[in-house]
Parts: sequence; structure tokens; C-alpha cells
Amino acid sequence: MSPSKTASVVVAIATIFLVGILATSESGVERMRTHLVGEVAPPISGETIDGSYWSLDEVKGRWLLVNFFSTTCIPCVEEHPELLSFSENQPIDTGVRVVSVAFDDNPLSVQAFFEKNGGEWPVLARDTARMSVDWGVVAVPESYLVSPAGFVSAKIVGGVKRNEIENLVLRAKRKSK
Amino acid sequence: MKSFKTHHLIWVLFLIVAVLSLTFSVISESPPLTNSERVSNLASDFACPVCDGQSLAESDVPVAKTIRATISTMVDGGSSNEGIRKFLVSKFGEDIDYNPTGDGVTGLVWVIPVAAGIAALFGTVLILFSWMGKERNVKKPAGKISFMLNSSKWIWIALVCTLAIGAGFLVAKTAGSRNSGDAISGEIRMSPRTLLIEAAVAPREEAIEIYNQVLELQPSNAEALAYRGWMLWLGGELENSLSDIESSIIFDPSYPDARAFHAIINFREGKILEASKDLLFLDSLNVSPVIKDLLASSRFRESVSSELARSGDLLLALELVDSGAENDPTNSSLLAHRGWLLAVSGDQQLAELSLISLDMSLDVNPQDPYAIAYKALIEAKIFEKMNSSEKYVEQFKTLPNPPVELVELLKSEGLL
Repeated sequence: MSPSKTASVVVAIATIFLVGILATSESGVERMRTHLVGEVAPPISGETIDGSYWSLDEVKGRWLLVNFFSTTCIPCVEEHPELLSFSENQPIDTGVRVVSVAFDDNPLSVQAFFEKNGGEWPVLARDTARMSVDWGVVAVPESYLVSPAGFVSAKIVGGVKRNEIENLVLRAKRKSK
Repeated sequence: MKSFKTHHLIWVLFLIVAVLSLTFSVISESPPLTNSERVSNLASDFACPVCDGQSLAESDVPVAKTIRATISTMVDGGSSNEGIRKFLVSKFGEDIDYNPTGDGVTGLVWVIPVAAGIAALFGTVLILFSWMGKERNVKKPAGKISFMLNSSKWIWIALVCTLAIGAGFLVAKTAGSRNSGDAISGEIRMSPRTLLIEAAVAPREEAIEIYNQVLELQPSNAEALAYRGWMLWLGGELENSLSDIESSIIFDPSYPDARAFHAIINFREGKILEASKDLLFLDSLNVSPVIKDLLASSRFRESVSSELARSGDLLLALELVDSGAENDPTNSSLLAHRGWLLAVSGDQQLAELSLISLDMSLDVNPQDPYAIAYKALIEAKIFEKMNSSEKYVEQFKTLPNPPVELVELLKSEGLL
């Protein structure tokens, strides 16, 4: 084989190899949508806005919706009535529990927000930076559905709708059986 | 023989000095970094996950602040730089690491430039040998023209050059720890942060140009959008100004400067209710001292609340004043203004309550000109206690440089 042909073949093989690798690698956007899904839920614990202590271990054995939010974020404010409606319609004993974690927010603003808009679930607003980073939160609102075994079953980027969460829970429950 | 030895000795000495210098520079200990310096260095080594071309150190968006806080906690907790690097990559992906490791797919960014360089060299050598072989076998052509017409040689030269230039660009892009915003070709552009600092002290027209440059690099930079909008408004371009400031609020709802500018513009445009909403929202944010001073020195909150009270919304006016006073309990002027709003409401009970606010203001600052002047007016005009009023008028007269508006007010009411 002549040197020019050898060079052409080498370049062609290298190009195909690179295209193959780059085409099959996970894109940033895809990673954002699926990050943590299938993995063990990172820890969440701390003082809630009503002064009690809450930890992820308290809800082991129950489905849990972890909602990262901020009172300064418009989609978070918009999704709140949906979360409220979802939470209020969950059976007390077997329903999905909700926990909210404030993202870069003032605890007093968070407390005022919940007093004004309602929401009886635990809300963590102090020292939440590490929890947000542990969960890889980049832009709120972000929500995660955690299975009773403590694994992340689904991730929702953006504001949630009550029926969407309900469908997601149904699908996740069916899948886990 | 002698000259030969001397010649070699010089080279040996040169080598020894070079090797010793390099070794010393590598092994010599630099002073240990403080935790704060480590946090700053690490933050500069990672990209903000949601910003375009900004590092964690440069960005002020919530996620960057959150990650910086976590880095700080980890550094204080004794984590190593490598541990923190691995932790952040595991949470946000390799994309955020400005100095990726050499393993996995990411390793390609280090391997490709070297491989491309070697391939280019190898290709050049192959082609040259090929041509030399042909030159030997083929009879020398008549002139230069026949060589130029041999297009296949030029195609190969072009290919090799392209490959070499590509490799050069890749090396320029990946080698070393280049900062975000730096150009690929080696032209190191100024970072958005440096540009913003420069814009802050530049004249209006020049500042707008600098903000344009920042927004070229980072179209979603909330600070540049807010300040360009503010500069445009100062130049009378209301529509463009509002567009910029509202975009800034959308990109970063927690950026207080944009809210403050939005409030001021709304107020100047007669949208009092919108201005008050902006101010109430601003109270939930972490406002910089510069913006606090801007609002306080122009008595902006007082102006907005006065307009609200004048339009009949006394409750909202009081809410606005109370919200400001809650954030800044030492602001005696706001407390005095609260008293004034209650006094001029026309309600006797509220007028009595106004005295409490004015007393609170004087407790905070016994020399507050507004509290003193309002006390003088209220005692005289509402409660008809002239002796008490005169006492405050006399106190007002002793104040150095009292606000002109208060002097005019007391004069118009016949107290001065």
C-alpha cells in the first residue's frame, strides 16, 4: 500500500473511532434530565422551618417526592399550588410524602412563603447548600421521586403538575413491582 | 585538545545549572495556601454548570454560590483538592472541570492534540519520502510550472497543513489551565468579571460598550443586562432599558440590583404599585451596600410610600415602610416617615400612633431632622401643643444643614 493510501486509511479509522465515541457519550442536557436516576438517594437532613429535625431515614419504606425550590423563582411559585394539591390528596398511611429543600434562599422568606401559601410537609431552609450539591441541583425547581427502598426513580426538571407527578408515581410503582 | 575540553565544560556547566534550576523550582516549597485562597483557586478551576463561559468564581447565579459554599465547607472540613474535584465531577459531570483528568472519554482532550501533531509529522515525513522516491525515478521536469500543475502534491500539503493547524488550535484550547472566556487562538480576552469592573468606573457611553462586550461573551449575564439597562435609562432609552432589566430579572430573579433599577424606573414612569412590589421583593434579597445607599440617599422608599398613601393605599404604604425598617432597624428616617404617614392620614387615632413612630426614630437617632421637623408640625397643627412644638423647632434650628424640603415645609406652616 502506498504511503498516501496508508495515511488515508489511518485518518479514516481514527475519524470513525472519534465520531463513534462522541456520538455515544452522554450529552450535558441528557445528563441533567437523568442525573441520579437509579442511584441511591443522597442524604437529606436538618432543621425544618417549624424548628423540628427531619431526615430522609424518617420516610424509609415510603415513596417520597423531594422538591428543590426557591421563593424567588417564578416557576417554583407557580408549581406550589400543584404540589399542595398533590400532597393533600395523598392517603395518610400509604401516600407519597413530600419534602421541600430551599435552594439559596432566606429561611425567613421561606417560612413566610409557606405561611402565606400553605403546605404541611417538612421544609428545610437552613444550611441546604451541601444537600443541593449532593443532589446535583443546578436550576430550581427540580424534583426527584424516591422509592421506598431509597433509590431515585425519576427526576423532574422544571415546575411540576399534580397529574404529572401522579402518573410518574404510578409508572414508578408499576416498574418497581 | 584544550579548546575541545573547555568547550565541553561550558556545555556541562550550562546543563548542570539548567537541571539544578529546574529541580529547585519543582521541589521548592511555596507557602501554604489559606483556606480562603484554596476555595478561590478551586472555584476558578470549575465552570458554573448553567452559565455560558463563567467559572464558579466569576458567576453570581444561585447554583454557583451554592457550590462555592459547599467547596468552602469541604475545605474547612479538611477535604483535599483532589477529593473536592472528584466530588464535584461526580455531581455535575466532567463538563464543569476546566482541568479534566486524562482517563475515559475526557482523556481525548489531552490525547487528540498530541496524536494529531504526531500524525501531521508522520504524514509530512511520509509524503516527503514519497516525493523524494518519485523525484529519483522521474526525469526532472522542465520548469516550475509543471510542479505547480501537479495538484495532488498541493492537496496533500493542504491536508497536512490543515491537520497541523487543527492540532495547534486544539493544543491552544486544552493545554494548561486557561481561564473561561479566553480565546482559542491564544488571544486572551478579558474575562467578563474584569470587564464588569472596568465598566463600573467608565463613563456612560463607554460603559454601555463594555456591557455589550460582556453580553457578547455571556448573553445571560444578569449584571451586565441590569447595568446596561440602567445606563440606557439614564440616557433616555426607556424601551431598551426596560427590556434589558426585565431580561436580567428573568435570568436571575434573585439579583437585587435589577429589581432596584426596575423599581426606580417604574416609579419614575408613574407605576407606583409596580414600584412598591419591586421594593417589597427587594427586601427578601441580599442587597449590596451600594444599592442600599442609592435607595436610602434618594429617600426612594419614602417617596413611593408617600405616593401610595396619597392614592389612598395607606396600608400598602405602611407595609412598604415596615418592610424597609425591618431590614434596617437603624434607619431613623424610615421610622420618622412612618409617623408622618400616620399623622397625615386624617385619622385622630392614627395621628396619636404617629408619635410612637417618631419617638422610636428619635431613640435611634436623636438628631434625625425628619423626626424633629415632623414632631414640631404634628404637635402644633394636630395636637395644638405650641410649647412642645417650639421646643422641636428650636432643636431643628440647631441642626447643621437640615434638608431644604423640611425647611420649606416648616416655613410654609409658619413655624420657621
